[in-house]
Amino acid sequence: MEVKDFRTRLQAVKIQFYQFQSHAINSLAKTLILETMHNRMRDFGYSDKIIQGTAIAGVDVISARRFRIFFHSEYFGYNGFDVALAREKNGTVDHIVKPAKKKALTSDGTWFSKGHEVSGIIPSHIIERTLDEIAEPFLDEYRRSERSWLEQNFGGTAIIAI
Amino acid sequence: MPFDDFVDLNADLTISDLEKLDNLAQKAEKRLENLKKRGGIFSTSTSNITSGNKAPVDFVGTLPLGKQDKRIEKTIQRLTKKVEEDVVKNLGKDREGTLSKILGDDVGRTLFSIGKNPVGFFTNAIIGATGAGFAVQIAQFVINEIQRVDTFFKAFVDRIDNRTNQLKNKEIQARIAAGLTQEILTTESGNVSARDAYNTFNEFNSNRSKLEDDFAIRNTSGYE
Repeated sequence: MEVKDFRTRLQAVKIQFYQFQSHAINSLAKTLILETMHNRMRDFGYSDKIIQGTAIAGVDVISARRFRIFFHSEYFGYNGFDVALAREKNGTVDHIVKPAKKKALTSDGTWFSKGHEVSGIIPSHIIERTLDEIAEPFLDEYRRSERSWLEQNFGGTAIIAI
Repeated sequence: MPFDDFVDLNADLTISDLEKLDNLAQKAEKRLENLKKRGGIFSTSTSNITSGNKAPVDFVGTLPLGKQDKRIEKTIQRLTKKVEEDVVKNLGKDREGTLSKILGDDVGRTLFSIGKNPVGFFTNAIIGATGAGFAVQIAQFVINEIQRVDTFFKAFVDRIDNRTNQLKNKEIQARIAAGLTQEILTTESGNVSARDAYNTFNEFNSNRSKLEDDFAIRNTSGYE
């Protein structure tokens, strides 16, 4: 490749660079991190409402080299109880679950209970653990896609190659 | 209060790196343009080699490569003849015998000695062959004549260097395979994390058979 040709391709790379970064970070964060979180939540028995309420909140550019990807998990019960937070971080103690309407727990017209005592939930730390575990593979995958993108743009010539 | 968390991503490549690369490429482009103006090997595009029938030009930039080769060959022949004639004039009637005494039978070792110390080699060789007191002058004359055929002289000195490098390579290969020397392969920019780099010490500890295979002593010199 001649220098002139290389420079022409380099201009195209420079123009598309931010677009590539934005696309790569968002798509990799979604496929690698968020989907893993959702799968783990499903395996752990989370309700679909919590799973749907867990999403990428945004990407901040901290510096030219550093990006921060935020994840947000939110689901409030009917009385304002933060279920997502309890599932992830706080957990709950054993507690009684009562129906909103009196004598709702009937069977064949026979009222059998005011409510049930249920055991508390253990905090799963799924989001925290997933981020800890996947941070490095995520970075590797980003670098790999960056290399592959550069190779495509420079016609098979890698700028950075191990 | 919902739960929030984040992960950081540290990218290797930034737009400023691309700018730097662009500046370097711009400088290279200007430099090439200047070289083209001067003539020589850069005076036409290298794409001629593959795209058309036009032959690549020579170092001077005026003749096709084949003709230039012949011209260099003729120059070398003429100078070699001159060297032989002049040396032989000073060395007596037994021309062939004297020259073979100077160069000796072991041509490889001879070339190696010439590459290391040309004047010393010829002086000793001529003293050995003739016992002449003017050996230094003759040696200097021979060296001057050889150095005039500059490309030839450089080529065989490079060849000798290359052969000694091959020996060094073999030694390094053996030392790496034995875990005595560390080689770390990283990116061109050098800023790859340690986890991505290829480290022979790590390979020695974790996967010795692979390391031995990677750095098995191979003859890469082109000579059997």
